[in-house]
Amino acid sequence: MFEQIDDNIKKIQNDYKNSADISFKHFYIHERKLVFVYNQSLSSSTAINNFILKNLSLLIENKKQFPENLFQFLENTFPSHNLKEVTTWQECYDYLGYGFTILFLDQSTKAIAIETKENLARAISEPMTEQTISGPKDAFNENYLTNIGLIRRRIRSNHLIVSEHIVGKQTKTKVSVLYMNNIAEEQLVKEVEKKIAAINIDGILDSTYIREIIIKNNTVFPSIETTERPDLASMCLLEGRVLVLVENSPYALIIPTFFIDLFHASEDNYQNAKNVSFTRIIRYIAFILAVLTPAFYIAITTFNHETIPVDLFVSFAAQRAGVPFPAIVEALGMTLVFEILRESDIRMPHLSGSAISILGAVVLGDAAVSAGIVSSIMVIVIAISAISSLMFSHIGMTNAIRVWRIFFMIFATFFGVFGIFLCGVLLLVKLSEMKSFGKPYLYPVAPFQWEFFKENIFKRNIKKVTKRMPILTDKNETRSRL
Amino acid sequence: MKKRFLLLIPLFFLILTGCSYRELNDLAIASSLGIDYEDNNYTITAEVLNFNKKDEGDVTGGSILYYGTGKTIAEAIRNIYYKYPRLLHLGHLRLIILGKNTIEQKTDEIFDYFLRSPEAANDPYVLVNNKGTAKEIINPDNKSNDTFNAKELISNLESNELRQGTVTTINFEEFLSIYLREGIDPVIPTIHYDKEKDNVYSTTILTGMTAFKNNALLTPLSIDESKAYNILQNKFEDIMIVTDFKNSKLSALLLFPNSSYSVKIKDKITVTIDLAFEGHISEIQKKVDLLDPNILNEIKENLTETIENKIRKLLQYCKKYNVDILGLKDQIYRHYPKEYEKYKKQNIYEIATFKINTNLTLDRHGSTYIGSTKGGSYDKN
Repeated sequence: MFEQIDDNIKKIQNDYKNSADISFKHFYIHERKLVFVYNQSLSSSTAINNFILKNLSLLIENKKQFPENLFQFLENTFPSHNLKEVTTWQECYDYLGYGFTILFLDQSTKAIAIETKENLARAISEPMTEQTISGPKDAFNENYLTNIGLIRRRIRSNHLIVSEHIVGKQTKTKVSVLYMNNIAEEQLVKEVEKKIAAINIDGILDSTYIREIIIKNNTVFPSIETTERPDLASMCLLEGRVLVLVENSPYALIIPTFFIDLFHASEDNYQNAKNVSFTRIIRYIAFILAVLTPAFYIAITTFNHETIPVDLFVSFAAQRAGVPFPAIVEALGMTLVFEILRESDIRMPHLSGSAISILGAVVLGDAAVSAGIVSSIMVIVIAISAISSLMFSHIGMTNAIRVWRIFFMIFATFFGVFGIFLCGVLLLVKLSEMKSFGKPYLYPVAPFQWEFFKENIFKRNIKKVTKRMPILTDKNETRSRL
Repeated sequence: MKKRFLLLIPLFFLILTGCSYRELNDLAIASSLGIDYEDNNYTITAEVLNFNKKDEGDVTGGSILYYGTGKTIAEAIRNIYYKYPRLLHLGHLRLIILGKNTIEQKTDEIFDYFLRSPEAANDPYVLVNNKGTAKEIINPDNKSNDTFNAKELISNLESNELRQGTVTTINFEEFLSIYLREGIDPVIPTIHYDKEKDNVYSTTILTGMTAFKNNALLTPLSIDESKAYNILQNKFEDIMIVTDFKNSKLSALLLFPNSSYSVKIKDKITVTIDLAFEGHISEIQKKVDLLDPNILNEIKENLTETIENKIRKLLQYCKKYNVDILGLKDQIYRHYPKEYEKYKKQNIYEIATFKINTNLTLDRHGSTYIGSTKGGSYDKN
């Protein structure tokens, strides 16, 4: 930095190209010039007024004599919990970007950065995508420290480690890896940290960026799950999983994620184990229905006629009479229309959402059938499949189901029930080949572990779950002694 | 390597995809099929389910009749396409009706066609018109198009088997397996069309059963004989037996059949028939005290005799026509293969001695008459 304060100011003005939100405030103490530089959009004017300007005015008023080393004096005098000495321009701009106020003093090659950050995040609100009836109702928001705080508030142990990385050449985003150092596997933590440290990108705007980058092979089934619930995140930490929190992102990444986790909902942790087991069975049925219903309908109506009871056969045939398209075209068309409806429903502002529902119900449900373009049984088939896929709160799962549903439909069109079987084998091969950070995706089914199979496929009473899954932890397996 | 494999997948589709892709609405679902053979020609009468959609969601019932003639069964079925565009789908066939000529002359050919056909169902019930053609059953007056209702006929057939015992159904596969086996003869339910009566619908009636031996239909079984056959095959669910008891009538329901018969050869052939049922007295016209064990025993003996009489009548029938519908020779063939040659040509029902053991438990007798000697309206009479 320059000795002359005016040079410093000029450089900042030049570097920011006179940006409107960079403010300069000039002061004089005994003819020594002070300049405060801050970013109006990131800094809190209240903090600047109350803690810096007010204190400075008081100092000037009350004190007649200032020590020779004014810089040292000011650094010691300002009442701030976060006060840094700045020596390079890079540091200076970083702190400005974080909402600090930089204090320049003439005849000094150093500056002081004082934290005057404005809280720009929204308040802690209810989770939007993972709603539950019982259980805590707070959710992560865009404030990074709030998010860490929400977890810290739940796990007070000093074993909860937050290891921070700065990722993104332009955005300088804070990315932290959270884990319990007395539970989580060191190997896993190291690998996650290594992968995050290796990221070289201009900007990270959300945690999904990190997910995309650190996943090895990009498959349709999500191998890293996200959550916006601090309670679920804390539970994962206690199981020995690793969490990645990203600044400005309300979603935490859970590493590793198994296939079976996609069938679990946050609600499951707060309900009676037996009821949850029943719900989970329904979820498995829903998964099968979502993936297979259209394919199975195509297979039995075009190849394996003998599998349908005769009365149903007549009813199916009567529904299809007069429909001009083959079953697969009908099914793909309906699926396409449904996906368009779903997409537009998500994108539309809530105010005009009801228009879409009416259009969908009238155009798809009724008019298309009466016009003879599709058979009513096909509307039912696609609707069952669609509703079943919407049962999963993880958007990644819903999307994966959509892809495989179409695969199954194509196989069924060419080979009938045999094709469904063939595609089922492909799906199974795909799933069992997948790994989430080196952990087998189909755990605890393959490799099979009866104790955790019972707990994950169904749900066991919390009293009976005394061990952590050994695949996630190698040092602290006991969870409770009841 | 992976990409090369991906290229193979569309190739699989091209190579492996067969021609069996058919949309539902291109099919004509045959629910019953009549096969006749006359003047060196096969006539196929197919009853096809009619599912023309009239209004919204309203499916009209009924059926359409399709006809085809040809030198072979395959040709006759194919010739249906001359007049009707849709493909005949035999996968949901529920009933095959054979004319008298067909079953006596062309049984082998029918089996051949159906076994070769990959699509045709193998379990339709077999019915035979022992007095005429199949066509006159399906379309009696030669003009009505939707009077025949296979579904109703089938439920009639099934309820007759379960509740009356006068019919024992046989499906195509069972018929085939019995026909091809040595030492057992099939019994087929019969149906005929009564030309005398006016009402077309009521005149196609199930008449009972007839045995089939050496490609010839024999005299039909009487009702008692039919019931006895049903009892021995354990096919019924509950059947009614009516007997004379102390100069008035008594009717009882037989439930839970568990009968069997076995052949033993020790110098002589002995056939042991074990009958076991539970009985339920459904009507008794004589006033008796059912709590009295002696009376109950009397009733039991009476019923046992009635049932055994029916069985003996059936054995008489077999003896008279030398037809082995119970498959006794088949049992000999399986258990005493060396002796089989000796008895092969003989009438087994003449030389064998028959032992019938009936185990009837009469637990359910109702409670109506218990207090009859002590009061109530019965006392006054």
